[in-house]
Amino acid sequence: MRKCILILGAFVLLIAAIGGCKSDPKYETLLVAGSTEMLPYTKALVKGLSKKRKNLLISYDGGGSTPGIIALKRKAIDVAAVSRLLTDDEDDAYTESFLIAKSCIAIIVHPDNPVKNMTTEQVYEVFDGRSQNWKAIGGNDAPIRLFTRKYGSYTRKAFQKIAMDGGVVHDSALRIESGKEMADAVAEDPDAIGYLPLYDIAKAGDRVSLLSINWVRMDKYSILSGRYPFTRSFYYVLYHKPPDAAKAFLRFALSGEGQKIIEEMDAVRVR
Amino acid sequence: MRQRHTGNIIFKTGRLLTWLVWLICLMSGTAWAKGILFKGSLAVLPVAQLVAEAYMRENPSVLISVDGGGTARGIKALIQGTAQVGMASVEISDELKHFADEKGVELVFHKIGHDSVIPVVHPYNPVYSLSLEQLRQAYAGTISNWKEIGGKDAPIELLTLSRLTGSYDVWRGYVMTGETPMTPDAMQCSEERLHRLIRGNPNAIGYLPIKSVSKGVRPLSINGVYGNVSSIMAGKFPIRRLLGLYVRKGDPDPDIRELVRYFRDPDIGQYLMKSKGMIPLE
Repeated sequence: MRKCILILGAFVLLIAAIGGCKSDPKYETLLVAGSTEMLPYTKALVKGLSKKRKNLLISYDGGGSTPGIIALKRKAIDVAAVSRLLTDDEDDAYTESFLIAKSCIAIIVHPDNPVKNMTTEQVYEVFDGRSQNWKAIGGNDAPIRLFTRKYGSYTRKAFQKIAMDGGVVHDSALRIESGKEMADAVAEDPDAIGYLPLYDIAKAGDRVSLLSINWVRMDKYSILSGRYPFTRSFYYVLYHKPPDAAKAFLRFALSGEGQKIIEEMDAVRVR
Repeated sequence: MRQRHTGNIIFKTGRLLTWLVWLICLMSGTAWAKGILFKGSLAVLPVAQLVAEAYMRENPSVLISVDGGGTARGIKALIQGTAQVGMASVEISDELKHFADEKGVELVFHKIGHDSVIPVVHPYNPVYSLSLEQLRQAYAGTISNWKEIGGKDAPIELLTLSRLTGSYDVWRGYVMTGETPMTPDAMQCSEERLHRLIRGNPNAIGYLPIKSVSKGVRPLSINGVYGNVSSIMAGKFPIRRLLGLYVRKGDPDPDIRELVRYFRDPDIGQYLMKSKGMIPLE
């Protein structure tokens, strides 16, 4: 009988200990900054974690991947959001990069356009104005009508970085406000070409045709494997001796719940 | 009688505890999720992408991501636990071995094949073979005219691939022997561009992974040995690099073991390697 009470007592103490940990009244703060492209995902993950950890105050900001890593190493922030692999200089013994999502940019044309594939070189040549007629890439004898996003758009920045090797879209391109309007414009013009990030593609549906690039079709698998050329990888990076709150944020981002948030925002979950 | 009674209570309490912990985990959203990350060598990347996609199609509940970054970055991520497989085209460095020891991580290497790079010239170039030493001197800039190596009296126009590529690493390791710096006069380009420039310039020399050596350029033999799949596999061609996968020793994940098997399977990974112009194991 005494042994029973001892065991039950230990059990109660254990549960109390677990419960006690969860309701620690001390405030914790966390600062996440970096990639502006990742902001919507950071925001959603922060929101999701804040609901569960009421005593955790999380601030998040943009600023860019590169400044984010610098700030991380100076310990000015706790988690850096980075939308690319770290460079050889940035990567050191203390950096820990966690891949949390993948996304991509699709090249879109009108569904009636006979061109179904372009090589990465052709994409570059078309968007920087060197190729101006569809017949140069096996299509109809018609001028290529370029569409791009307005200056300042994260999508436009990302597109120029990964599809144009840092070059810029030709001046003749019509500037569009949003992904939705880009899809609308291309859907109405048989000679149009534009680009859409993954989260606008679902809504565009059958109204536009997605080109395969280097004969690789864009789908979940080719995005995860990276074989589809215009893929984006999203990382959160921790540095030396990260605070518990930072580790908790990463755990959440990689948890089933966090990855579901990623999925609901039309990015590709990695777990 | 009392002891048995107590034993029962311990047993039941244990079960209750386990069930409770599992329930807490479930409720806190850490439901079992399956993600595997392959990270590392760009030389292994092309076949890893194909194997990953093939595996995901057979196993829809497993998500496999593949990333570059180079061998060292891949092994580092593996040691830190942010990646599950390190793709490697060089053996683990002492520095990283030390890092692994520090973290108490033991790694196992599974070889999957080889790759190589072949020096190429214009089809009209009268030079058919060079020694490794001549190649090194040409790329170091100490030999600058073709006539010094049996060719025409014309300047050697050097082409090289981007420093971020596995091919550049191979060239640097096997031709420059890792010590001699490549002359900055060597023009950096992509494979496509290098191929195009060689086709158009009888004085140009470059190098390409074996899969990219196609019509329009002529491969050079090294020390009289022609570089093809059999001479590379036989170890006769002097440029040959082992490719493989690092994993954590005793990794309990059955998918990791199965994936390694996929790579080494003659009908899956090995076949895909050949399709990508890589040299298989056997």
